[in-house]
Amino acid sequence: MSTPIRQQYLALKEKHRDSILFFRLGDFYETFDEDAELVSNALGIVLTSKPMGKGIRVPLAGVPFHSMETHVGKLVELGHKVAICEQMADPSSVKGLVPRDVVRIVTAGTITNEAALLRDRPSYLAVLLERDSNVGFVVADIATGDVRFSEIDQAALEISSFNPAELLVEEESIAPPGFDSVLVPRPVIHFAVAQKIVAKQFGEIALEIISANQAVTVALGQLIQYLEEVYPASLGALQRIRPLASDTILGIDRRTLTNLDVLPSENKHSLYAVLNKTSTAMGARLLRQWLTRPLRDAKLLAERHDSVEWAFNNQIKRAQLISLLKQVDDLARICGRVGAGAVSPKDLSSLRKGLLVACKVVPHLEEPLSPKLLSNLVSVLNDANIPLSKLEKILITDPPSNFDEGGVIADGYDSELDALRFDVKEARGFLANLEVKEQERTGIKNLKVGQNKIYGYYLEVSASNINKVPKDFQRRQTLVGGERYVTEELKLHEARLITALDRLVSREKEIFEKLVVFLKDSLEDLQGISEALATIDVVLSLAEIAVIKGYVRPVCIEGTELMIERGRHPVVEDIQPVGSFVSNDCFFVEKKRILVLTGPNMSGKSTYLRQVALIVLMAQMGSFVPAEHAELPFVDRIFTRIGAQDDLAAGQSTFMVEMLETAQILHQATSRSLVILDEVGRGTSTFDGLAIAHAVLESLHEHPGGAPITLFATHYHELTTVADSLANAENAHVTVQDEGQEIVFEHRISPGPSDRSYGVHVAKLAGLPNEVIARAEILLSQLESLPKKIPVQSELFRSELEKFELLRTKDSHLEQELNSLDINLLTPLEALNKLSELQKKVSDGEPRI
Amino acid sequence: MSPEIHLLDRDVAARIAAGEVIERPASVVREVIDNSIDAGASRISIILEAGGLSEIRITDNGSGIKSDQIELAFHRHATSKIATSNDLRTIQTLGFRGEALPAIAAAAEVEIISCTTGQSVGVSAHFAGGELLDTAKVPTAEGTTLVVRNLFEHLPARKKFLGSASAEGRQITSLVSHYALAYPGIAFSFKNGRREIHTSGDGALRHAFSSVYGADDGENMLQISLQEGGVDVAGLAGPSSMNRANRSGISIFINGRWVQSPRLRFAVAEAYQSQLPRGRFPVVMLKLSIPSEEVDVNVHPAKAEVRLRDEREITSMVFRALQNALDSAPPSPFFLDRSKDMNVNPLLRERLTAEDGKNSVFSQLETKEGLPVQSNRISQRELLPWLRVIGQLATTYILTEGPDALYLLDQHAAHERVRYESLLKSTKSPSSQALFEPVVVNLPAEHLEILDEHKDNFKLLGFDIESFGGNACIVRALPPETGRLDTVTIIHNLFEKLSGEQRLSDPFDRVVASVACHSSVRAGKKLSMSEMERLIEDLHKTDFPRTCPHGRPTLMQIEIEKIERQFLRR
Repeated sequence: MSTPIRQQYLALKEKHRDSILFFRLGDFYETFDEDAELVSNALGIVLTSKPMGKGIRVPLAGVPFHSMETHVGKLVELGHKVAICEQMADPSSVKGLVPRDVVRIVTAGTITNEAALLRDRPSYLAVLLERDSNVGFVVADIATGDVRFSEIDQAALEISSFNPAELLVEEESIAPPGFDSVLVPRPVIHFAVAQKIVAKQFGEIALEIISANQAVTVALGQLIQYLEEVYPASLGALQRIRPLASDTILGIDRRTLTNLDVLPSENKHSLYAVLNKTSTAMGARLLRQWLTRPLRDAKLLAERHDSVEWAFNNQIKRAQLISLLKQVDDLARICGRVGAGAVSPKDLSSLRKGLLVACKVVPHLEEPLSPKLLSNLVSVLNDANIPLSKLEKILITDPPSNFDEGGVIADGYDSELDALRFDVKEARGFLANLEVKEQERTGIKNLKVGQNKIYGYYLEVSASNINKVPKDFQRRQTLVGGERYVTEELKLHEARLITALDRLVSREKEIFEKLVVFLKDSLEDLQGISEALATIDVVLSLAEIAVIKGYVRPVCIEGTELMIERGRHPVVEDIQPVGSFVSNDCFFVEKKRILVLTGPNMSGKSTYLRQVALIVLMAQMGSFVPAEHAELPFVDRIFTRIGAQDDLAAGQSTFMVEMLETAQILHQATSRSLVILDEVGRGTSTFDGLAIAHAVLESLHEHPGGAPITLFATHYHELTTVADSLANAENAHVTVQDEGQEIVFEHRISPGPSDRSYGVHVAKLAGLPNEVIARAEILLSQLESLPKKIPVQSELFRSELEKFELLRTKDSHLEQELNSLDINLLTPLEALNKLSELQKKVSDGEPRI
Repeated sequence: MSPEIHLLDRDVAARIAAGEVIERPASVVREVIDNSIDAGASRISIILEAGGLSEIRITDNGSGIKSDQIELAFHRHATSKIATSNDLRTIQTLGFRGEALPAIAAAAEVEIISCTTGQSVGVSAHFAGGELLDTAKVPTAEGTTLVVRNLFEHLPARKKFLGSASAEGRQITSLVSHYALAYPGIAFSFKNGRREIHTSGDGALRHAFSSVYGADDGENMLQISLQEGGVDVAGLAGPSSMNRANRSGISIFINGRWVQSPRLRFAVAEAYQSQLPRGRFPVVMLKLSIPSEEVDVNVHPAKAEVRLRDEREITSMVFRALQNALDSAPPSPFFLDRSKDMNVNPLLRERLTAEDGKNSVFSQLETKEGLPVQSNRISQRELLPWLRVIGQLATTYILTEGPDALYLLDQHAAHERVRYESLLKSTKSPSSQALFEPVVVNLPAEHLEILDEHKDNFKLLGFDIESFGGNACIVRALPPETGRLDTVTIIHNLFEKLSGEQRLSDPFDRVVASVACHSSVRAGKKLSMSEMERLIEDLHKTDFPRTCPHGRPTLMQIEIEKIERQFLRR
């Protein structure tokens, strides 16, 4: 027969089979059975066992309560869910079994503890579903209570830009392409039910904001229902819902963000790291958001540029504001904890500091010349006054981080509290005076009243005076130099002190909880203040970095022309020694849409391509750009196809990915897009690659509605003839100084095609053994001197080209087939088969017309 | 276009004042920055490793050196800046001697990377021991990078005279700060470990000043502007509330050249005379533009001094320009504004405390020529003159008459000094006064930590105080210096002071200063004549009567002469 506690555990575990159950037992959270084995392995803690009934020993692994957050964080990171089971009553006041229940299930998208979350990276929980072919997308940051929704069918892009840690979908839905985190299938709920849930959480007004969009309503309903199951307290932080401006953002998918090193990943420099001079955690997170969701709306963008320029020019103001913001803690997450009722006295002290800064920031933004984006924040920041004065009145200057000893509420706020404090003081005073009293009574001059954690208050007498100790002294502890005693009188007053202290702490808690409720009622204001400070922070950061790095304000134009004078790659420039990065111009006009860039490997082609894309992205997020002058069009999407994973072992699948990406570009690019193609066709044999690259270039050139701005880098210099044959395409090459045996890369882009590939030279630079280089040089000169006997690539290709000439008049089968493919409908396997089929057609030379 | 470099004729070279050009890392930085400025750079970056001892990397975006002239540039007396000895009279550039690069290359390992406008590829060259090791073509942006590694590594006799990495780095910081102020149109970017200075290069001196000294100080600077007969005096003058214990806050640039001119510095200090307590000096950034034929720059090997044709007139202009600036100042308190002082940019703070002129690049010159190097300590130890008490002003200041001036004493600051020194003396045999009965005082958590940290210091001063459960402590005895207030107030004030005390680094000093401060007579307390006389008598006996333990002045003076002038008697 197992013990009652074991039965209690088993009953709870039964309800949470898919989670690891952290079972609170006194000062520990224990796990049992398989959970214990798993936890012991994952966290490296000792696995032991515990008798839980006659003849029953159960495997057990536990962590102390104060380090629970760290351990839970690790388990969630490893992909587990953790159910937290608390004791629902004070064990000392309960007879028999303490009632226990699961209060929260920690999942990847709902984790909120500071130990597990990165300061500058939010962990998003998202919902994606469909109703009558409408898409509903909802994304929430549970740690801050920020909820956004989108009804536009850009789900894949939105998922890219937020990269949620956990995604809720309706049963039987599959993960959207590119999503690789935790997917949670949820039972379908009805629109009417969802409406009720949403109205209950956000009020009737929310339904108006969503304007009866069924898909969004249901998605919100799903979010709320899920949180009710796993973390009901967090719903307190969810105050309002706001639409995502999906139609005014520049679309960048996650692959492009990765290709361009926009966000930090392991051991890699990133644009984010270069631009991040923010002072607050909220600012750092907002900068991330600006980077992954650049704007496409001229007016909004001008507002951002205006405010960055204002901060750029007003150096003194900027420095003063930065030093103010440096004092602000993570207000957004503190707001989240206020909402969830999990806020500490220290948190509120941080909140008070942040609100004070908000008030101090206002006069800086109130000047007539302040840019709109910033001066608009004044009314939001002014909301800080009321909660600030409340906090200043109630909270003491420097509260402790926990409640053990009280001392959180200021003197003079509550008369009962003041009276209790007086009692405590009196009791302590009496104990202190006991020293003098007992000295007189016993004649022991060095008798002392002392206190420690274990024995409480005592009278201490040195060894030499022990003979004078009266009978009513009760010995408690013997020391090297003396003895410690208590008396009835001392015990009485100590008890009085303890009672008063208990009452004091509970009164403080009452007041504190009232304060938290008040703050919760103004949570929307507080969240607004936190966001306002984050916006100011990002603007200042962008201005600061523009000054340090010498960026200029880009001119954003309505047309489709692009002009960058002396542009630099912001990330590469940052890694290289100062002043060594070679800048390059970039021009696109109406009659020049495609640039075919040739040059040897390692000469800087890729850097140039990415540099152009990054400058466009930076401009559209509101930043200044690394150039001497830049006039840029509003781009609707940035596409990249960059051979980042030149993984030979992956062979076929690399090519597969490459083709999928290329197909996506051909389908989705518009005349307002920016397309970066780096070494397309590399993943297959030379001729295949050339043919595909050629066809892709043509297709982009002939794009209905106009060709997107396209930068195409290749080390096949055969492709330069293609550019010559297309009206709106031009060649450029990376210049190389040929010094005979040695070559010197100039990293400069010049018009016209490149003459040779310098492959052997590059191999030498890369450190290939000398004998290999020597042999290669011999072979190369043989090949070059025998052009007629051994056909070199270009000649072979010429014949291929001629065939292409025939094809160009109308779409080839190949193109038609490619165009007819709906990538969104293909499974990876189907796509692979299709491609292999197409490839076969190309290489077999079957009738294609 | 980058100008041609050529060797100077021997007779021209012979007329150039040159000696030890490179003495320390700071001299390298100065010479190279001069070159960058002469090359028309709009951005200059200086990055130090180990305070410049192991590496100095200076990059500019100036006109660059042609690849075929790199070797020539490292010959002595090779320059593009002058050609004939006539040119020496009208030097417009900062460099002119063709000394710097060869001197640097002789003393360190040097790498130079340069690219001129129009050249498609740059050149890099390595030198060691003055010899060219190799050259190579490298891709690089327009401009020049000079990397100087391991200065004096093979010259142990000279390496010996170098300071620590932090001392040398501090000098370079100070040097770069001065240049950043002199050339607000150039974007300077400086990195020395974690310390960074970035100026925007937007041409606004006030902005450059804010980048170096902090935004609040930048905002408060007064504009200097005076033009007379082809001479232009410009710059920024700190209000009198912004002052220092030494002259390092006064920087003077003549035609863009940072110079040490004792006379001009004196004129600057003179203009502030009545507004600053003795031993305190203003923060002034002075820029003089003087026609080049009126200035002889070819007088000093380190280019630190210049000869002015009409020094008297220029000195008088400087004095007047500053007086104008100060007259335009809004009325400000005479003394340091404490809240401002707490917000001082760390850089300024460091320089306030660390730079007493002893380590200055030019200190050796000053002593050599017998100029008085006024150190902080000497000025403080100056004895007070005999003072006759006149009365109390605003129940805060004691008005007294001295031999030549009206003296105003801050009663709190003065008393603080007296208490502080008496406490320090008493620690040899602390006197302790037991309380009639022990007192329990509740302390906030952070103060309990302070109690823990300073337990022994308190004992040394005659306190008997220990923790008493929860957030309480028990006090059994106090030193008599703590005064007559009730114990709870004493302890609270003391801990408040102690937790806010950031200016003194030694923990014991902190405790002593806090006790002294708390127990001193407050501003606003009415004092009797005899109390005031007693206080001045006590102040006379102290070692440093002119400042309080935190470095604030205890007194200021208004010269009778000044008063006479105000009443138009003079």
